[in-house]
Amino acid sequence: MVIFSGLEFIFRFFPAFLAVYYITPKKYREWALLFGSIVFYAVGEPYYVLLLLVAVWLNYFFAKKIYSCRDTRRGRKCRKDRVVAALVMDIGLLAAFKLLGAFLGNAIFPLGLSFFLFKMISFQIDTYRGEMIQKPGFRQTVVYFVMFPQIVSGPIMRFSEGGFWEEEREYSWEKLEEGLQYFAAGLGTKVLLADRLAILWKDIHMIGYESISTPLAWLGAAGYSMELYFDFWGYSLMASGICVMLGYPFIENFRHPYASRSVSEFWRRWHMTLGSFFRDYVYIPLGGSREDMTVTLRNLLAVWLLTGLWHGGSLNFILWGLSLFFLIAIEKLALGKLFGKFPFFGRLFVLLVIPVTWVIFAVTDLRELGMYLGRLFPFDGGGIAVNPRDIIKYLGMYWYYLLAGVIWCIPGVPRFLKKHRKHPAVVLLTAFVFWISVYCVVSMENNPFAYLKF
Amino acid sequence: MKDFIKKCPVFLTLAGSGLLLSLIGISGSFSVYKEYEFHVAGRPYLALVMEGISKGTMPWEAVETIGMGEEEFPGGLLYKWRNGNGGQEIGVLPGKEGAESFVEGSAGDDGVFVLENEGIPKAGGSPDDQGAENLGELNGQGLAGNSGEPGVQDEAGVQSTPGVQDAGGNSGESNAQGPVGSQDGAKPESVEDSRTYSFQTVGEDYFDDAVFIGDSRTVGLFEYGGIEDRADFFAKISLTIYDIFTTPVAKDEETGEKITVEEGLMQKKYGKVYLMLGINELGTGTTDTFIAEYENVVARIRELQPDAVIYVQGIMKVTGKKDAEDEIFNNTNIEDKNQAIAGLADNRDIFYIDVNEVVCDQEGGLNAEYTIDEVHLKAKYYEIWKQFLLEHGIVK
Repeated sequence: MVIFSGLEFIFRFFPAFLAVYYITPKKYREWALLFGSIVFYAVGEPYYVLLLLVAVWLNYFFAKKIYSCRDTRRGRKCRKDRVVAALVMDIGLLAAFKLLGAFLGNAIFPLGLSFFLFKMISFQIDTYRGEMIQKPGFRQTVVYFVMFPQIVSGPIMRFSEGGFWEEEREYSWEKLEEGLQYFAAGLGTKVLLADRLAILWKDIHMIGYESISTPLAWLGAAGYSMELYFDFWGYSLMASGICVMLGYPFIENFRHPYASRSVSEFWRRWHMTLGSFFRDYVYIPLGGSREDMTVTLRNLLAVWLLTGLWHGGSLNFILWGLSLFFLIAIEKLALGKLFGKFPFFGRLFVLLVIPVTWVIFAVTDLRELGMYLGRLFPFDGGGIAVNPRDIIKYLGMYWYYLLAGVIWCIPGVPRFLKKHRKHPAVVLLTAFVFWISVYCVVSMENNPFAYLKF
Repeated sequence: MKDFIKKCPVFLTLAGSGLLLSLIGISGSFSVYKEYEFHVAGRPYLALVMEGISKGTMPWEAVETIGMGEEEFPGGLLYKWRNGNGGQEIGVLPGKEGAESFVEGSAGDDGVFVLENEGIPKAGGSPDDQGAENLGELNGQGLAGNSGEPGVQDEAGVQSTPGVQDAGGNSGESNAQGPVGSQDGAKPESVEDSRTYSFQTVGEDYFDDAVFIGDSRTVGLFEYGGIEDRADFFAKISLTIYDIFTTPVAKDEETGEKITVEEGLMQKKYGKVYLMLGINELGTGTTDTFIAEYENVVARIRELQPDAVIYVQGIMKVTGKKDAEDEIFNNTNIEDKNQAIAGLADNRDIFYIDVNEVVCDQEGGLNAEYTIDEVHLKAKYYEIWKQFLLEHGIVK
């Protein structure tokens, strides 16, 4: 039920929740969202829901304490002590579960923990920094932490972005419509593109990395880059679409990243809420890029190591973070100016190196990773039982998904549709995409990777 | 209202079409969608409509069954209400439907067949036998249609086989024009017939007149076995023993048209025919129905290629992990079918070989190192299969 593209969510939980939500008088709607979210999370994690509730309560408690000493005599010191205590708790909890996950397998990791703890951390720091213009109420705080559209995989909204301080939340049919369109777009992006391209990646894995031709290795890297993007972007669109339908603001998490002109820009446009989290709570507090280059590089290194660790505990994620640090560092030191003058080279650079970084991200086994990289860059020949014609087969099987994917990566296309979203043709297209997606979900439900056919 | 349509057209379109699909699903649940699953908590009625489309049952077929009958809507509701839960238990029809859809699936396009598999054993009654009967008929027709020609070939076949072995060459092409007549008279047929052969190691040119027929495993052998330039391959993902003669599997080299296994076997004379089929069929029918069909297929191949050595290969197993998890695609089921396949061998011109001897671990499952998806070999391990085949040459 916790998967937005599942039948249970689309046709059971969400319509029922939406009906209850809008029947509830405006005054109590936050309560409806609060209880609905706890039910949602409890279905996904019947035991860890207790952990969530404890974490929510403790964080609210700490934040209240931090807030309350803002007017006392030794306010600054007092706030600092308390925020440190809160952060030790949150970061400790996250680190503990990351470690447990690394040793005992990911099944032990609570659903959405990385995301809701990051919300809590940002909440504590914002309170400490005095960015709360008024004392956050219990209800709003809890809703902010647990709201179901964001609890599983973000976006990591800031408290100040959620419109919790407004006198009255604005609800309208127009917002409902707008949110539904975002949801349908996200559903299509995930189901029709990401889930199809995922099969290509599985196919390549099945062949064995040592046996793929170099063109197929690049096709796989490109396909995986799109899969990952459409999966997460699609998810984020669905999540933010739901928020809009409930009267909350749209939180942007992706801004057509593959159209970037440098790797640094790519990461300002990819998973934006995570990037800005690290910028605001790690990079800038460390001094950002205000001091000399060595300090800047140190700060970048810290950010990218943490980003790598946040994504996963295994060594390849650290390598992945380091590779991004390395790329961004050389852009800062040298390439950046070139890309500024000749954006074409910057775009090309992004399109060539980002897929390679995603391969490092995707292949958790280092030996396998080495093999894949060896096929991407076959300097020493290599490869066992390579079929040089494999590329023709897989292009033949996947070209339409890849082509559709490339088109969907071009910023103008979604922008055009968004601009004309009230046009009858776009309305029909949205409904069509929605039902085709549902059709795909149904026909794949026993057969997630079309794998029962041998 | 007009204002409303302007404000939220997508919402209204989706709500309206969703309602319509649900109604179709509800009405169809008494007739065409009777076998499909509905869950109050997780699987809405409109999913039945989608499932129907994916299996070739169009929504309007559900609409056609509106009426007051027991298998109709809303009539079915009345019956259900009257008999408690009785509507589901009126026994004959589910079985029949199961068998029907089964045949559709096997004859129709590739997507349908395998998805059906899980449904059928549950379908109530005993659909398996009926399904097999229907399939038998399908295939029987194919046989009958061509019965004239093969008969002639058959005779020639019996004679030509012995002719060649004495000539000593292991290149099967000479088989084709085999100078038959003279030598044949010298040896009594009955002696030749009962002569059996044992396996020996051969060189790669053994595959020069070989053809491989199979599913995705054989596709893998084609792509990564390194013998694609020597042998012909009529292989396709999800090919089954039931649709082997109806599904296009290869391109005609001259016309570029897609041809079936049957057409392919008619065009060229082969010295060896390798068959590996059966994993896609695991969820369908029983071992008896499977092997009956397998026997038909072998008989038909024998008619088309009277001189060829036919290798019936045991189905490659799955890993121990898959074996433990999967109710259908497991090694118990595979072993069962393999035993039956082995029974088809006569060691004269039909031979059983089992690649599991070299790709399985001590526990008897496919070696986990050789595979990622628990079912298919990784590319570089197709070499093992090839070597195994080379060690099992038959030189007559």
